[in-house]
Amino acid sequence: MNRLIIILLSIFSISSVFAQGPPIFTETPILLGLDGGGIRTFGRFISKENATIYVQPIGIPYNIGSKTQIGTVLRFINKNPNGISAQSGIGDLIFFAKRQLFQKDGKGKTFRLTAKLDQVFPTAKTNSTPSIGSNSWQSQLSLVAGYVTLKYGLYGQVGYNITTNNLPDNIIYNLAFVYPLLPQKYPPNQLNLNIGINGNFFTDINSNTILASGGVQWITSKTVLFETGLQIPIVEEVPDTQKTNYVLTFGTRILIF
Amino acid sequence: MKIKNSSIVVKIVVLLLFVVSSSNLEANNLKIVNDDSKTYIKIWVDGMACPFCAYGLEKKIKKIDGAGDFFVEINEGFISFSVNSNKIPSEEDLKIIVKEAGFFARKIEVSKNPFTQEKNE
Repeated sequence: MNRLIIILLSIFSISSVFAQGPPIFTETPILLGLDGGGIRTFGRFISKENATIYVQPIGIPYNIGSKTQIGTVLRFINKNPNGISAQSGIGDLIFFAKRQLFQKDGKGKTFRLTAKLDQVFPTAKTNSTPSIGSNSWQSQLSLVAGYVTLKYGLYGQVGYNITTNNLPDNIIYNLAFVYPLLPQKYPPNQLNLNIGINGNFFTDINSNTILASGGVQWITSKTVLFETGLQIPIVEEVPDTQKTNYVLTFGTRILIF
Repeated sequence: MKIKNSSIVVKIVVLLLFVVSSSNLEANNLKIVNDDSKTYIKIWVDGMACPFCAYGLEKKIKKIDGAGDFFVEINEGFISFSVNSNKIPSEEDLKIIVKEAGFFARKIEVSKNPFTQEKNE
């Protein structure tokens, strides 16, 4: 049972804790502006039937040219299971790399396709109950596509996550729609509405999880963005005691490079 | 006495008008000199679909020696800026700069006159 918590947390961490740049919960193929060299922190409060979990990551991406990006994510994790003392610590280290494969531009619109590799290093402590680390090497390769116009943005991601230490592999699939609520202008002062779904299918145990996501972003300037969102499970094939009630997120991104 | 005072007032007003018009003339002349020293470039940029993405392009353009008066019109899809007239980058260089910023330069226009009076740098 405890292992399942670890799996879910780890997968959430890879697929969406450091989702780059608008949208909030899905990856973007665009490596520019706040989608690119912006340091990001994105607090997540996860309410489950048998625990509450708080994750505070900080992600630092770095663009190598306009088509390649590398970065790392560090996370502070606090797990507070019902009836057991809480545990806190620094989570597994994540390294990621993105490479743009395709780009088709038009006036006020663009379609881009990117490959992304996430590598989880099992660096966090595993000698506590509950464990902070996953004790598993995880490699996730995904394709990220996005069609962005001045009127809306449509994003999708599909990927496969390979795990070690007898944890189940999983397929991730995310879809997001971003709609600007204010007229587009430069310098930006944007208010964006985000809706989407975030799915995980664990291949080894045939278990599926789909979260419905909604959120808003406020881009205050060329270099600063605030965002908040809520995810609610609509499909969750796990034991009742492991079920997620909701995931509340809030964060900021600041362009540093 | 009253007539003498009003005469003095008229003389002062005329003098003030002369000073003001002279300074305006000087300012206009200076402006013309400044404009001559600048060349304005307008680039129609494809792929500029999100305002916050355009900041990278602004940073790249600002690295051009003498670049200023930066302006982005996100809805029309162009950027404009000024450079020193004796240091105008080539069209090829400008296309490379835009490409390195992650966009595509569809069309480039060069003018001695500003394309817009607005700035949003």
